[in-house]
Amino acid sequence: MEELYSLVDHLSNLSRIKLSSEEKDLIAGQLKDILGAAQKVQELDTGGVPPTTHVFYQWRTREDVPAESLPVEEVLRNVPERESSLVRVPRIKSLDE
Amino acid sequence: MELDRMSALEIGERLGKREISAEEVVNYFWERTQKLEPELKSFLTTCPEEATGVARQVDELRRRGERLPPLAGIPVAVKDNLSTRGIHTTCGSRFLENYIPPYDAAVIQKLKENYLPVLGKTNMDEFGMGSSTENSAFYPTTNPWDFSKVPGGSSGGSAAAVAARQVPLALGTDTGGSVRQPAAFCGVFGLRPTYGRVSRYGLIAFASSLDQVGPITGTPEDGEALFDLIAGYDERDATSLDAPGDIAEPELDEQRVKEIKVGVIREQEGNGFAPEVVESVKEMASFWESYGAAVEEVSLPLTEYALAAYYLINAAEASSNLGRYDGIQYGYRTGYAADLQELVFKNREEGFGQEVKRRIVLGTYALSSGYYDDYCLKALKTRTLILRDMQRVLQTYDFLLGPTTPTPPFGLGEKIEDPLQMYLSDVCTITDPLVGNAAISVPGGFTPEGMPLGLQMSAAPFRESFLFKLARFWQQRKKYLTCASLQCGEKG
Repeated sequence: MEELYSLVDHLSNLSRIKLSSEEKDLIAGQLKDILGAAQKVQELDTGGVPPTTHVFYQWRTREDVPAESLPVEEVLRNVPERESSLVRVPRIKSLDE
Repeated sequence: MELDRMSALEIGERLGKREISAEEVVNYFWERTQKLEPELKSFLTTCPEEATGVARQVDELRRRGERLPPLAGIPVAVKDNLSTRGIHTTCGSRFLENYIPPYDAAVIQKLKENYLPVLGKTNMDEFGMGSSTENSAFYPTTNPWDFSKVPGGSSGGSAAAVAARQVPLALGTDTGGSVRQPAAFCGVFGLRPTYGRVSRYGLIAFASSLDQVGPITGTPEDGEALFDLIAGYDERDATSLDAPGDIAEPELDEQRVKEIKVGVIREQEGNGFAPEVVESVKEMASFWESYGAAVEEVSLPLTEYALAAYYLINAAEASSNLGRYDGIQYGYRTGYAADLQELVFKNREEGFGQEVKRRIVLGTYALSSGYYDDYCLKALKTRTLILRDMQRVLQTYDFLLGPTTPTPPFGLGEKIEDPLQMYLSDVCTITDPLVGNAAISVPGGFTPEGMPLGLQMSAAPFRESFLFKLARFWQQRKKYLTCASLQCGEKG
């Protein structure tokens, strides 16, 4: 269980989500069951079988044609903090590090 | 006029003959929505003013004698993960609580081009992750047939809204069953189209290789009309299929039914399947047999592996898709953060709910170095085996029959503490998305307690029209009531 807890800790870092210790406990417990069920796929012999990422392969590219964009003001309407047409964020690195 | 007793196409006909105005229709359903909303909570946002605006436009065009599409003026509800320009689109998440998209999803554009008034945005499990709508960050939706039960999910709001006839039509989205399962729990029709037939442009991504938009309606005819309206190639979605169009399906008559071969899925009974569910499948199998179709049992031996593969693939794709939510350009922003990294960590901690965090963590695990081969890649190879199996089976059978869900609707709060149990409730609906099939859930009768049961018919890609013809043949003879009795009368 401790191993799972530190795994969840690691995964929370990778996925950029802060988790409280209660949440880590909870998710570690649930992950144990879920991974147990997901283990099922290990039983199959998939030697020589290619993966399927998409069912239909009709990938197409299109010409890069200039088109009208949305107005800047409309696009920036959802920005939580801004200064004119700039997005405001805290400093990249805090001073006490 | 009791508009809640009519199908969308019937209302459309009356609109065409100008026996009633589109504004009256919108008013009727808006009043009904308001009356039922305190119990149901199907909607996250309503937009009666915009809807009335469209209705007035329809009435004006009709006054001028213009011919309009068959569903023009019929109110529709859309799931809240479909981007609507100028109208909140939350995806059922705190993270997007205040997000107002600057553009319309492709399907919303199609609704507008066809003059369908959007009455509101429906409740859903956060980002589509869930099977009961209890994972909505705002409130759960209830089942119109029994308010103590879940409506299914993740398109629970859309299915409940149709079953209660707050609207005659709705759009949901289906990643692993999110149109079909709530349609089954609410006793209405729900189609998962072939992957790629409906543009995903403007659909907020959950698991991109599986997500599809589909109609939820009270009749198969309405479903087909709405599907025809939203389907089609879109160059803005790289996975949109430039398909030859519909495989033209003639109306299904008793002569043609005799030529059909039905495969009843053997793995969808037994352990975990409620007796009344198994019974309803048998009833449908006998139904097709009684009309002369060849009905045989068929085995899909990889069914239990499919569920594991599905959850690994969807979590992996979700963790990648949801990486974009940092709360910097839009979305949830925490109060104070010392630096940029802390800002992102806190935004995601506070903006996402439990299930979303769980899937991101699981998906990150499946994709992370050292585990990728054993989990993600293995799941994708399993998907190939499932696809081959399905292609083999569909060479013999015209469609596969099984239940849409292993049990009737469960109670609010019953499974929310146990995510694995919740995942297992998707066992009947996850195979079709993995292989790209079209699949429809149709009403299959009621439990002794009066809760709806759903039956699923799955067919090869592009056979939506065939599925609608089957649904129609069934419903014309069974006449199941698809409007919840609590609001509108006796059960069929």
